[in-house]
Amino acid sequence: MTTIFSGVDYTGLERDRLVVENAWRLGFPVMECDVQAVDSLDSFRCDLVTMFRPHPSDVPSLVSTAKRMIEPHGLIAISLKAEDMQDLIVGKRFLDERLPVADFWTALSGFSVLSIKERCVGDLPLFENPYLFAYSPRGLQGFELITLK
Amino acid sequence: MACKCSLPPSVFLALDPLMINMPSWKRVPEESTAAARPNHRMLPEEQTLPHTLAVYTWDGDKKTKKTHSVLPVASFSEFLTKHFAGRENLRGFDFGAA
Repeated sequence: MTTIFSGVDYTGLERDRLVVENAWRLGFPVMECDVQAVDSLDSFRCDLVTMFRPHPSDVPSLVSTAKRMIEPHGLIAISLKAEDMQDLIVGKRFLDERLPVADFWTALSGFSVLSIKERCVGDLPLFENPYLFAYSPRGLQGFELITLK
Repeated sequence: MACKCSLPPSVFLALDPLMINMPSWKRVPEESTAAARPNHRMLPEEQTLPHTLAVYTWDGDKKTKKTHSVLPVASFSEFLTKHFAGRENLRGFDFGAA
């Protein structure tokens, strides 16, 4: 089995039932859930929360939930779709046609920006763009970074 | 819609299987960008990643430029390995966005 990181036991969540059903058929334990209704995850604690290609308008609520789920030493990592990252760089006023860019940056307050040279993890092309937003309650370990304000 | 499943006690992987066939990002044709969007800047190639990320944000009707420091890392695995150095039995969670 391919894993994103060999030391992590992973749980997944998708809002699309077909994706969930396909995932289970392939042996991937992915749960169906509307990402806007994830309060039930508050009691779940984990070390790593990832968001690959999230809908930008979901990001503020997902980050809020992730910060409640994450262990103090844990890590939240967000990689946007290429076109969303492009919109940020170009300076569009809204992402996802609903989320003002200013609200996006507010949601990511305290995050650091990394650039990932290798966009694949194993055979999986996880990163559509080179940038990764990362946050840890106790700060990123092994790195000295300037956080977003 | 509420969550329809309880969290399983032990799971081993949760990557969107569709990602396996996820198309790579395709560049917008040059001729359609420069004229249409004067401020357009392409996402950099891996070999030329800058150590800063300049973005624009809005305060009301005012558009302002912000520059963020960027730490280049070779791979996601390297980043995680450094951050979680020495830790075991880690639990992960992925918010998919199908």
